[in-house]
Amino acid sequence: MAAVTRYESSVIPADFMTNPTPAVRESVAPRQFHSTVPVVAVFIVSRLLLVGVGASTLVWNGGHFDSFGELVSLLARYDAYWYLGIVEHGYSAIESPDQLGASNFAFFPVFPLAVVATKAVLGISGAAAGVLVANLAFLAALFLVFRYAMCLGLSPATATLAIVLLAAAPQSFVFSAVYSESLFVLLLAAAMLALRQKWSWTSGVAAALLSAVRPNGFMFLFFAITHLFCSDRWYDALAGWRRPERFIPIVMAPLGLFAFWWFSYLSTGDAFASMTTNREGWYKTLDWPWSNIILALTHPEHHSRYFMAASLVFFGFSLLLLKYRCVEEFCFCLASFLLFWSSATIGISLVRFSITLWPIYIGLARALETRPGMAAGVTGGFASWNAYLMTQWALGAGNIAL
Amino acid sequence: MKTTASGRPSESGRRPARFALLAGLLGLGLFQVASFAYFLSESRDFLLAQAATSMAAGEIAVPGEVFLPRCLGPQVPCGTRTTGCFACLRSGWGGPFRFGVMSQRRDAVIALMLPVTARTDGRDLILVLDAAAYAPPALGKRHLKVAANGTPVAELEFPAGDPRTARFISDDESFLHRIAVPHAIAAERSILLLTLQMAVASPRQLGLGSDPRPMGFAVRKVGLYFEGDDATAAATGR
Repeated sequence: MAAVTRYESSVIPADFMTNPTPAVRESVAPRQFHSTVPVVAVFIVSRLLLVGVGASTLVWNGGHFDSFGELVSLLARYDAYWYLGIVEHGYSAIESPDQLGASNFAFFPVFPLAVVATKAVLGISGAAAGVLVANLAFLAALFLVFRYAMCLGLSPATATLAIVLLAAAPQSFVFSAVYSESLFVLLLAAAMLALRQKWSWTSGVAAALLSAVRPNGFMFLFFAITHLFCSDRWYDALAGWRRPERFIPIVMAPLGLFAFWWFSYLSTGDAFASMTTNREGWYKTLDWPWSNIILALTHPEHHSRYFMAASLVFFGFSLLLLKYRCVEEFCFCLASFLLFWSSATIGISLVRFSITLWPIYIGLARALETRPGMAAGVTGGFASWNAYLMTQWALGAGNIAL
Repeated sequence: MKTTASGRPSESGRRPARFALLAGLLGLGLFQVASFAYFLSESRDFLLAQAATSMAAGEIAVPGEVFLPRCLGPQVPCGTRTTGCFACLRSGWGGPFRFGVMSQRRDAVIALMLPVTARTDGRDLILVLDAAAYAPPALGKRHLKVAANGTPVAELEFPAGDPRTARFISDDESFLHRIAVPHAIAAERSILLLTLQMAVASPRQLGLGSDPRPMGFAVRKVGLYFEGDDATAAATGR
């Protein structure tokens, strides 16, 4: 068994990540308390570096960065105003005079609700509460992603590499901004981890919340259904009366989305208000993914080509999950990418959407674990890309940092 | 409840709880399916309803100029709040040149983003095209078929050009062509897809030069107005 715990690819069984031996589970379990150090270190170092880059950019360009308010201001930009509008005034069907057809129904409710609760409890501003919620969620998400990687049988070093990649990923500064991405990563990790550990109710509740965080939250269904069929023979999987608890996450996953639809219907008469306002205000209409991919890649404006090409790169990384037989995780990523590409007439924000698909980093870390030079190169590349985008974000050059 | 020797519920004792859970899950699933079906049948576009209500109450004025895109330069996919474009050259177009943009395929498509007022007002719309055909004498009269959301709305004719002067000509000096778009077509969806159909040919094919690019017609501007308000087009068209 010692050969297995060396984590060398040549001695690891093909299904090692999805079906580690009991001995491996035992060997990694006592070490789980060690996750605190790498996770907290990765969180602090990555956030400090990003804020440092943002602050330096502001100061270099004649701005100021000498108060907590400046920090909050740096992290509350672009879509943050939509979330803060919901926090301050609730949902409104009135379209924005500056952006016809756009309303805050395009933004899902769980993140602003968490900000409202934090604001009420701590008595701080909405923006400060938003920054706090996002960062706490990201810290917790790093813990769960680490745990998930360990649950798949990866070594602590590889699990650490996975969270380093997540924290360094291009545009990962949004995990600290007043955006819902960090909460999405947290709930996705919670739902997936709980499902793998057979905590059906926990997984179901996390999945239900997840589908009310971002539009692709309900894609967790693809993970849950694939997991059902991967862990059982198909006829056992369909025999719901034998172990109905396996269906709890599947049935509960869309609940958050339906709750938001009901709220939208009762307040506007349009259950699909989110889609309506996305169509009218942001011109996001569904089309075949390949049409949008070609359209964006042949677009004369460089940022459209950039966003689409970057999402394709991340999709390429996600194929590593297949190599390591993480079929469930890959199905989730594939379904999410198809949704992104179908609704992205112009590829804007595709990088931000892609980086939330954190199982990609587990596959990537697994591929890089025996190649330290390449791992350093990829991490450095991610970090440099991220730092550049942070400068654009700080300068308000929104085209590429949205 | 039946229990085992260790005090845990036996298999037969757990069965009612299992079936209760299964029934609960089935009920929850059916509720979601029924909700979705209900939403599909009862849900109404809230922005359309909002615009109609506001217009009826006189809270918002209907602008005379409903729509005048600011960019018909390079091909711009729809939906860019960052560039402020409300129209896009969807397919079949070449890069911009001095006059405007040139169709390079038989079917060239422009997508116009319609504001909700264009769909709720009830009046027909007037599409104003600032366009000229590539019409060397060898091609004879040129015909441009215009379809809105797949429905033919006009066929324009361009006379053959004089070989000694401009190669791009229109049927009048203003280059403006007014095309009626029935309200029913505009009300269908938030995007008005204009398919402009004209055969293309390159100067090289016609022996008129070395330029290999296929050319059909050129568009400089496109506007959309309510019927009766399109007089403004004459003032702003060129």
